[in-house]
Amino acid sequence: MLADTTSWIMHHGIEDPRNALAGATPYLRMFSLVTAGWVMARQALVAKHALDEGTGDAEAMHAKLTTARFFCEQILPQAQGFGPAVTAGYADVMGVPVSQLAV
Amino acid sequence: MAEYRPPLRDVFFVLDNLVDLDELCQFEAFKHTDPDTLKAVIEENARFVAEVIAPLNRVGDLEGSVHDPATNTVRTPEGFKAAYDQYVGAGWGGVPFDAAYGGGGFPWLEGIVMQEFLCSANMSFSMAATLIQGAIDLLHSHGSEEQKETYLPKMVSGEWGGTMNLTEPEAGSDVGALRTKAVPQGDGSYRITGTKIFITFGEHDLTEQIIHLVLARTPDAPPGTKGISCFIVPKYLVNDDGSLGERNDVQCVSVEHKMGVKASPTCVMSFGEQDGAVGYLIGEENQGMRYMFTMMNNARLSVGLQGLAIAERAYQDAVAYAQERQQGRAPGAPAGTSSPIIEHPDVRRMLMTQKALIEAMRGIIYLTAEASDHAAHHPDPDIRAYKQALVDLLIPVCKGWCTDMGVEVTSLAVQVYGGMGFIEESGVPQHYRDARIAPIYEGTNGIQAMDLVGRKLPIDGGGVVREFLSQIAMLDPALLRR
Repeated sequence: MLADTTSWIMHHGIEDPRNALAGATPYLRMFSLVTAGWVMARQALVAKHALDEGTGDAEAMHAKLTTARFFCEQILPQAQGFGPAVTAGYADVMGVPVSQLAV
Repeated sequence: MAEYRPPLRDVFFVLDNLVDLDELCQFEAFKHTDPDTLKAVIEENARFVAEVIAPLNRVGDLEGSVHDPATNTVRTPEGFKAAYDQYVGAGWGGVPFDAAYGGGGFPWLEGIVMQEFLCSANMSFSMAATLIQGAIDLLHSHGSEEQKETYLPKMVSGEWGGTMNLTEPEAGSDVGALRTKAVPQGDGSYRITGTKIFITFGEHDLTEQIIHLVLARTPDAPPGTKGISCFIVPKYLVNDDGSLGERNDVQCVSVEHKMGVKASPTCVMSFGEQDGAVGYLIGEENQGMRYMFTMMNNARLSVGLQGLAIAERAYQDAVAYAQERQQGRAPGAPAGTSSPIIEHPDVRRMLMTQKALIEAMRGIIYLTAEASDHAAHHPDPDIRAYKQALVDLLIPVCKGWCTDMGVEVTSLAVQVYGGMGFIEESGVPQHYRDARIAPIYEGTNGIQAMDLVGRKLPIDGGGVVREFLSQIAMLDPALLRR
């Protein structure tokens, strides 16, 4: 999903920079959530390993595992929601004229 | 409002498991230390920051730093000067800097952990102690030997303050529009005239001397960013023996009234109202923007860290309040009793969201700090280059995402407090107000997003982002196995 959106914004951004500029903020949010998901997935693996091996403070490791799972299952899925805002391009972002934005 | 407790359990989890302190301590630059020492220093720092710096957070917000128009001086809040002297006296400022200039020669990661504590404890105070890092970085990378010997030791120790003077009224995000002038005097020095705004700790009473680094244009400079040069403008000229001499022609003419970080004076600086402020060129003329880029990653990492740090502080308050405050009966509680709100699932969801975001931010920022230590000190030049590209790629995430999440998490803390969260006396609104600057300064988050898309994705023809995404994808099989 992120790989597809990344290649969309790179290619369509070269075609017309307005595509890259209009989608940059939802893209950053999506990229960041996936990066955060990667970090939390590593946290989960470490904590699971510690629990399996009986090393470390079990209650603390269980909390790390549960927090990581909460992130990956309940926060990370938002990343997908940003995809359409990136690949929609600039048309609707720029399509309402200033005269209609002003009251 | 709860007392700040440095989150050592969570910090050490990252240091022990997500980064590799053993590997860092094998680098030539860090052979003088070891993981146990790094952690012991962190514990000692945590104690100091919690005891000395954190209690000044509220008074800082209430008093703010105040400008005296009669003298153009700035008074910091009660207790700040004494705490700053203790901070310098204990040597905390110099920990991650070059030992040749009096620093501790520790990894940047070590400095970042300590900076998290300092900023959680007191974001305004932390800006006095950490904004100087950009000035130190820039001087260290591009200053002459003589300049480094003159200025660096006292900047590294924190005895002298340091500022970065970029923004002007008509030159904000568009630095290339700046108009401050620098005229060569024939003796190697320049005379600087112009007005700079939004200068953090541009004037204050914490240090006897302040070293301003100022961007300006020489008379025949080309337009735009290609014509910007960088100058050292000390508040007091420094005599040959290192003592302080004549007062330079630079004044703080006012301090802004801000939404947050009120103890951090945001100054309007006037250079050369009389006959021009004396300035000394760093490196070559017209190379100022290039020099700025060398400190930009660290500066942006530090601001991203503010998002994490202020989120952590607000979360601690929210957890404490949610255990005290009793409202309604949670499912399963005896009839006729009221429960601490932490037992209500929707409140618990807010706290879990805060906790999860904080742990993710801490992981991202510490990993990026570790990567920057690798980029500077790994023995293999190919790995240094890859790690540098990785830092470049992740800086917009650190700065842009973590500061947005800082606002999100502090806003959730206000929500957990309910009505009290809207009342200043609870102390919680301060975190939300303080957090709100971080998505704006050091390159707005809109600029971070454009930086990611326009500058960072194309690095190495997209090779770096591809490599990073494939590293993420490689985790999938490991997760499935579990």
